[in-house]
Amino acid sequence: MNVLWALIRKDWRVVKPVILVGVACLLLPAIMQGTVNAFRSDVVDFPGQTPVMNSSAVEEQRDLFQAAVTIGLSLWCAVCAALGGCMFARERRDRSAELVELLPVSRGVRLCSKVFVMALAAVSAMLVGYVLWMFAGVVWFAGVPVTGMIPPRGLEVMTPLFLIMFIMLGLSWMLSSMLRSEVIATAATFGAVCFFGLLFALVPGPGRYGDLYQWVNSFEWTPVPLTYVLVTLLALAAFVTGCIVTLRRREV
Amino acid sequence: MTHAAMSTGQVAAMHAVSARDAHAAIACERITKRFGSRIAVREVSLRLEPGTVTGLVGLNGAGKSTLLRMMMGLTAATSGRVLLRGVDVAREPIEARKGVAFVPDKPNAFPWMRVREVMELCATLQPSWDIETARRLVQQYRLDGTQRVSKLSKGQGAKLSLLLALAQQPDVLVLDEPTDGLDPIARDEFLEEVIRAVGERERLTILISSHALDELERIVDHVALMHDGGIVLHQDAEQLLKRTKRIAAVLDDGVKFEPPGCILTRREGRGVTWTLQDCDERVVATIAQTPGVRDVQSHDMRLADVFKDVVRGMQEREGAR
Repeated sequence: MNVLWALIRKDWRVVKPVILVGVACLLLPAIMQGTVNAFRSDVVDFPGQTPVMNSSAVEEQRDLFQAAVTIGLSLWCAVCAALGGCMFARERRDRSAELVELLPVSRGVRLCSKVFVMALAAVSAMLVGYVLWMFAGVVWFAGVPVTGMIPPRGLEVMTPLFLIMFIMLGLSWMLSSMLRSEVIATAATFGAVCFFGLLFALVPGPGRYGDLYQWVNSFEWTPVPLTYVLVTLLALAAFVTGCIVTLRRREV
Repeated sequence: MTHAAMSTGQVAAMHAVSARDAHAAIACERITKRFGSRIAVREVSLRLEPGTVTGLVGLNGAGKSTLLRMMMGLTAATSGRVLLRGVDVAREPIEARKGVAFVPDKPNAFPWMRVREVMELCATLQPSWDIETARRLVQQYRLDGTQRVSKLSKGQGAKLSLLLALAQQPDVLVLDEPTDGLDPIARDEFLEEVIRAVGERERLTILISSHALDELERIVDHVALMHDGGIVLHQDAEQLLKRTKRIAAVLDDGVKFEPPGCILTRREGRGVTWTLQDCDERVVATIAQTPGVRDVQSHDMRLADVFKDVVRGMQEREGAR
């Protein structure tokens, strides 16, 4: 257990800079939008002596906050390419992989540690994003004493983001296991996902909406379950390939 | 022949370890490494007995680093096999590398870690790690535990690599050009530490590759010379230096004479210098008695001179072909 824990600590420190950047990308849009929301003066109307919540302004606040969280999560997905890309390639580039290889620890244990760190970082970030999203819905929805408001959307937006994260992590993990440069692994992953993402029409068609606000509000992903299944399988296949390459590697 | 084409008996025979190899600290059996069409290491067979200190010398690109990396299982051999203390490093790398430590040409510890953190990591992951030895060596090498590995000087980096190797209490220590790029003082200090390690551990087997032949001469008891991917000489260092001589003489006009065992001939006017292998007083006396050969003088050679003459001789013969 000590061995695994030591490896996890080591792997955590290998990717810590990437994770910190990712967390900043995840949280900053929400923090900025939350701050702007807090200073808005049109939330409360004073039609008479009693203050009344301005329901349309509150709804707009909620939507803007959720849009900010979505942007944060999208940025996190992009950072995931670097997260997976650093997993093997960085150690191979600075040759510290040789030091670890010469220690009497099986490759399986070393792989488990990396999978754990990557999964923990990815799932934690998505959970934080999801909680923020729901927080926006709950707080601002609860603050509006009107009926008929659209409940906050959650999973239907999260699903494609999860998919993008999976494919980013899977592809970069595989490339990282094959290359000696985390920069190339990251860039290649990012490029491939963007390219094939556009091909698969996973992202909303550009130019359909006049401005960002409309674009975010109309955030609809191409509802093709087959695409989702294919992307998930592709991500899994890339991940498994990366694991096999690492376990069967003959040159460090 | 592939594994599939072999019978069970043939496969078993191939994997069988001879008694000699089983007792050797390191045994290479006809290992070859190809990079595409280029052969980096060519059918090398080398056996190091426990307790010996062997210097591996050769020109840049001779295949020394590739050979050492194959020995440690960091690079896969194209054919042949390496046994570390009788265990095949390709088949059972963890078991084979038990008690075997490697010092690379450049420090391979995590550059972003602090010295103390690298030591803690190795202490956790390496069961044979000796904390007392590590502490003593940190003080001895004057390493700052709070310093990042990337900020260490070349000399300190080399010492850290040696520390990480010695703290494992190894029986076999493989060093790949560890003093490469060090200043003379750092190089001396490093080799002093290696000598001290040899003194402290009686059965420690060392294989060290280096270009610092004068320093190497102080510590090795065997020498292996690599040229063009092959081992062309593997001998007891004392015997090699004792029996390799440079003979200077003057030849009379028209005399064409070359003594047996000559590996290199240099002519300057009527003066000639031969480098002879397996040379003793009897051979010198025979040369001196040869008609037309005058003023024969025999000179001892340093390891560096032997190396240069052997390599030049081979290059000349290759050029003549």
